[in-house]
Amino acid sequence: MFERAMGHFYKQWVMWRKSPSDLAWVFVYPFVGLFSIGLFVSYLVGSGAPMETFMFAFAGIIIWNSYDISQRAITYGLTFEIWSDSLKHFFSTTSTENDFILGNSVFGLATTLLALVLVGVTGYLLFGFNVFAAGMFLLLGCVSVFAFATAVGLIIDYFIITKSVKYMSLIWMSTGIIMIFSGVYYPVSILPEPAKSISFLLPSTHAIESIRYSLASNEAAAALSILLSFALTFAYLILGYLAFSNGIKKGKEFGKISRH
Amino acid sequence: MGNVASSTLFKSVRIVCLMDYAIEIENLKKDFKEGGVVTHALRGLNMKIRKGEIFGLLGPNGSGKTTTIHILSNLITPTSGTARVLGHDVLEEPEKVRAISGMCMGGTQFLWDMTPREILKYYALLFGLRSDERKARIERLVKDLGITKFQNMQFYMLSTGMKQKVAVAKSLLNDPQVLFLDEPTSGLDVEVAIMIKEYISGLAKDKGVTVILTSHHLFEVEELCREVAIIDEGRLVTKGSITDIKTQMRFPDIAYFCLDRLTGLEFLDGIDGVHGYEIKAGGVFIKVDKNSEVISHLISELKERQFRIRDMELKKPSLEDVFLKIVRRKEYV
Repeated sequence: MFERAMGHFYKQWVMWRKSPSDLAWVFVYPFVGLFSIGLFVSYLVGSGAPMETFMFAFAGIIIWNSYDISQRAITYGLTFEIWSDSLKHFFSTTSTENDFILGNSVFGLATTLLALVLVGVTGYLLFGFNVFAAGMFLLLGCVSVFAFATAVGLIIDYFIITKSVKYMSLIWMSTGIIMIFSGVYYPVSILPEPAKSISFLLPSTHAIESIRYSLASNEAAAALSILLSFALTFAYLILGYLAFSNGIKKGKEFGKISRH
Repeated sequence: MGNVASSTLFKSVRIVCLMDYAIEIENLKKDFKEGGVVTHALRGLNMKIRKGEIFGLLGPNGSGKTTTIHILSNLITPTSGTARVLGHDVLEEPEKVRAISGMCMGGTQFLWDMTPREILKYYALLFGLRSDERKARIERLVKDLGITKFQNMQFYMLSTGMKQKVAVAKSLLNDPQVLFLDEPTSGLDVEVAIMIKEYISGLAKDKGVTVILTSHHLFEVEELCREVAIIDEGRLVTKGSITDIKTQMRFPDIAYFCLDRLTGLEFLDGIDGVHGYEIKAGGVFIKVDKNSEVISHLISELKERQFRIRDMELKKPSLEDVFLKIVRRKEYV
């Protein structure tokens, strides 16, 4: 299993290091978020907004990078093959869906952690805000969001395999929608009532809150939030895994896999 | 005790029988449903292919050839029926089937940004090959298939022939015992096509690999395969050795004569063993029985009537003639 999972990791590594647009997911987009939100928050703080505004913004930026990069890894693992019309070759090897999930998600985790360190250090150097002060909760929050993004990516893969490649747009669309409900740049308490219920069901909401609580030295609330985040993530992972496995089964039944 | 013994004996006999065949297909059906429309790709296909054969699977477009190969390669699940590769059921033991088989298609695409060497490493890893074995196999295939020169070029930069060599190499990474080749020489120049054909022949001859080949180039099938099956509309039309099928079809030979004049040939209809003639392309094409005496008789009759024979050729029916006749007749087995 190690070699087969390694195969998926290797593909991601080769494609990533050769493609400027893929490198941008780690080396450009996180910094666009960091600079634009960082400068905006600096302006707000300079205009009299409380220093906690930084806390809200940076915790959101960090977590959202994790989500973006992790989801990219698991969905691009499939879409690279569809774009190249080589999906059938992967399915004619002895590699299984578990190898696919493992190899691609480990690559997602590695790039997520790389982006976390780069953005965290840059944020500290430029804006003097130390997100690493959230300690273990920062790491746990990123891991939970990484796993949640992987689960969402697997559900998107289900739609791409069973319905149409047109569903690739979900990769980018879902990120934006989940971001709105996760309270990335604001506390979810300001969301309208029905939206709060959706927000509560997203692990990313609780992961961000846990980092915010930790930075505000409320360790008990941080621990509760991260536990809730992991519990929800676990449920999404099961759902994602079942969707993906079923997607492959249906893809073979409908002849969708052999077409790409 | 007796029952146990006879049951064991029965199982052994069955295994021995099973192992004579690389491919066993029984009443295989596949329906595709899309937009409320059902397409019957396979309508109860039955076929057995012996081990070590280079077997030609023929049929017009949409006949079910590729669907059959995709079911055997575990890319499509059948609606009903069974398919076994070296005794392993494609539904019950899919991983075993994939482990012992390889697949190569014409016009194959791989990840565009990867080089042939990276592509081979990627798929070797997906087959679970460990480091030493992986390196050795990649080296061997790169060398054997002449990939060395372009092994570090990106895939999208390669010519059709180079891409196809990579596709063949990829299909052989796991040392398959059964190889599915779907139009493997489609779009290739003569030199690369010959090289690939020779390589395929060598695999069957030297390693006993069973090769299932589909191709629209029937001369290629005739050159490589001893046995063929013709399928149409998802059903088996005929199966057997090319020679037997041609004999069964009772095709006349065609004798072509280039003559100094093309008038006064009506007498041909009266000659025994002649089944009609046609004047075209500056000569006369005469349908004759497979009998050398008929030809000698024809030549003497023509000479007797003061015809000067400038050129002559005896055309045997090709697999293409057989294929067209069978497919147009649509008599299913």
